[in-house]
Amino acid sequence: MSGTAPTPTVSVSAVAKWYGNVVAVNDVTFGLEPGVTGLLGPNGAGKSTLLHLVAGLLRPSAGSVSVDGRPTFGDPAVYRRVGLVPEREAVFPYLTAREFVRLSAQLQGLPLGTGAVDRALGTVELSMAADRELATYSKGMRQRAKVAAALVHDPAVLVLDEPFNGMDPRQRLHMMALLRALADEGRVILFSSHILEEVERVAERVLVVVAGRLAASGDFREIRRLMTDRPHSFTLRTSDDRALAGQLVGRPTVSGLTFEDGRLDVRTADFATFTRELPVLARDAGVSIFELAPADESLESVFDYLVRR
Amino acid sequence: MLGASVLGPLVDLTMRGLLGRRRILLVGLLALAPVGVAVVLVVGGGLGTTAQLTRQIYDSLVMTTIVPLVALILGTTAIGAEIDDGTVVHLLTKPVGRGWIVLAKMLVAGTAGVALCGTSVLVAGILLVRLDAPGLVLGMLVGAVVAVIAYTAVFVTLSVWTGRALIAGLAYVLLWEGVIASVFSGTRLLSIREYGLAVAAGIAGPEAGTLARDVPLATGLVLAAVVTTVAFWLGARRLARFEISDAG
Amino acid sequence: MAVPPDLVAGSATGSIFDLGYRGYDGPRLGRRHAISSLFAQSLKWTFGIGRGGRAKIAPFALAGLTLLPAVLAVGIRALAGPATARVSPITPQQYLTFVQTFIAFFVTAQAPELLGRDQRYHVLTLYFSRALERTDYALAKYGALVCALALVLLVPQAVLLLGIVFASIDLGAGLGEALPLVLPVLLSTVVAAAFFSGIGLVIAAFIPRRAFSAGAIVATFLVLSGVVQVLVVQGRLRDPLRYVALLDPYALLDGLAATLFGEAGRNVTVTGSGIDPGIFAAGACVVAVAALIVLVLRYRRIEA
Repeated sequence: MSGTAPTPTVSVSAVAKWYGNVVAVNDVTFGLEPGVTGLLGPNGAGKSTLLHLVAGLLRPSAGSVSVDGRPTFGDPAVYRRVGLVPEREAVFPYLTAREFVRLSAQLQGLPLGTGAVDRALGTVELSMAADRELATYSKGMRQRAKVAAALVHDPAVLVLDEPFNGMDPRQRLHMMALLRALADEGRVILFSSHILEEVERVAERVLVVVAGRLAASGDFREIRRLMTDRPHSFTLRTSDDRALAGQLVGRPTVSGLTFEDGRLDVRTADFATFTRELPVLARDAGVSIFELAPADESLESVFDYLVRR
Repeated sequence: MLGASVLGPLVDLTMRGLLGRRRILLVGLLALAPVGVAVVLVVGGGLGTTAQLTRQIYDSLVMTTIVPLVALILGTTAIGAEIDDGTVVHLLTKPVGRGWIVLAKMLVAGTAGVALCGTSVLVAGILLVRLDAPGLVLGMLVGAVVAVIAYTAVFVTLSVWTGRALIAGLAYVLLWEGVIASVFSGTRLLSIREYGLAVAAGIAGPEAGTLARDVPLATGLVLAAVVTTVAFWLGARRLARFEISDAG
Repeated sequence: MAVPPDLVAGSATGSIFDLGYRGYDGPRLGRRHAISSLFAQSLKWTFGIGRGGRAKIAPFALAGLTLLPAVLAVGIRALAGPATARVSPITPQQYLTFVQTFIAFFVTAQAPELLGRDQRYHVLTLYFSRALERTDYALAKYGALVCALALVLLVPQAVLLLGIVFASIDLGAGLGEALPLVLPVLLSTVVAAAFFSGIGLVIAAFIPRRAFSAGAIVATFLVLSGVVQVLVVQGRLRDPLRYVALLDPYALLDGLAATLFGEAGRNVTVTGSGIDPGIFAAGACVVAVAALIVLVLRYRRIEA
């Protein structure tokens, strides 16, 4: 990204979008900074609507969406700094990938001959197949062509709607690495997904959208810690599970114990006190702890909790 | 924002989308039907062809059916197909003035229409009246060209405003221009066909014969130009406020 | 349903039943049922039944418009009294020609709906992987549209016939006048429905996008009749070019009606070409059959 351009900011403020009586997005507020943010939510939660609002393809029914302080809808100039990779598969089938990316470059006003098209194609590893018509491409290849077209003008903000759709594992890893690299260059990357592993691996921050509302935002581990009305689960491997369990069962902080093969699963409502008490109890019982790991600090359980609330 | 430099790529894209497929053959066939008619008449006609016959063909076949239908298909496909399958998003997510997009579509559809219909009218006219009535042939040509340009502009705009542009366009051509405007003479000034015919009659001058109408040449030209410009302006405005949700 | 194996009185065993996927080995309804189901459903869909409110507008509006002249004619006849029983604004013989544009519009509206959707959304694979053969699909769709159109056309003509019967001074005379018309009405309606549907379906079979095929169908009817009319009427063509008149669908319709009712043709192309209406009637039958053949061939070779 050019070094002289100011840091991009995306700001979404009390945004709502409704179609008649159907409210797709309801009072959502967040700001984005350079880095990768994942937009998560069940199907129909409004992720796509939110992305389209950020990308300036929808007019907010209330509130405002702005990039660098300017509203995104109705201002084509915003696309100098923003690139969108839409979810719909549709591309121009009669164009080759190269022509498609070149069209994107031309419509962005890039001068010819700067190699931007070739660079973009190379970034998505389509250089070899670039001269075949898009109609002959597989779904994953079309996806990559769209990404190349969105990257060709070196956007400061990149919005991707379900970008890993149709990609095989190798392409997915490559794309994740690409997104991380782009983010490290100071870009704002916002992508949506309903595949939690992808989001967990790439995104620094998550935005969880449920039924049109923002249910949580931030680092998912932090979110987990904030979920105090749900007991935390831990997995322990020790030298003597039973002895330790005997000690634990008497403590009020422990709300459940389960034996699994060679493991002890503990549920506690008071995470902080438990972590202080555990080593003391273990030492007093003469038990060595080999492993203590949070069992449900995955994005999946966070997500699950938020969705069911 | 970018200016005229985007027109080239947009025109290129539209041309490939519009003209590169099997569809254009059908449209071409439709447009060249008058030539077919002329050939059949010249070869097999019993009493020879006359200027009067030519005028009737122009009025009842070319201007009533062929020109509007060709313009309808070209105009609604130019942007309608892209809106329908969602690829228009690739055009809208660029720092390109919406007017340029609409202009490119209208240019391509209009030019294709002019090329097809113009050639058809010219060739058919020459076949039918040879060089006996050059004013008539010229008039018919210009009238058809003016009508095609106005029609395509209107139909392109219609495609931006509604997903049912083809039906709406058909209703306009068949119901409005076909029935109402011919029955109620007061509404004649709201019919693109009238503009075309007025221009044709005006240029043909003394050779206009039965094509002559009350509407003068200048009025026809001006109104056609107004309609085209208004269509362009409306289309550009609508596209500027076009919303795309993920359902397309 | 699995039968519990050990239900013996007094035994202390239990079982867990597998409620998962079960195969079905019973009798299957087979190909004929598949065809008749597809036919029935397509027939209903032609009238928008089972497709929601919006889809009913076009077919019912057109059916209504087609019915209207008949109702008006009968009404006028009834009001004017038996004295004018012989004078009617529209006779059954003229009826099909009178509503010819509505016939074309009905096909324009419904043929794309019948065929386009299945092609566009790639549903044909589902159809062809069942007992239904490709030919059956084409036949069922054709049959459905022909029946629907015939129904739409028969109702008004039945009204007209009833009008003749009851407006007559005496029932016997009325019946005597109306009965001989029944067979021609039936035949002409079926053949007309068949060849109009055939034209529409063939076009729709090649153009999956509904809006385009609708446009193509209406363009075909308009252009064919317009061009041929100009050629035949204005052109005064010599033989054998005169036979281009057979390309005009409305002329075929008129020739059909004229032949079956034993009258002279009224359509300008028919009269202007000087060709015997019987040939037009034959032409109509040929188009109906040829269209069906093309439709079947198309669906045998289409990529599902």
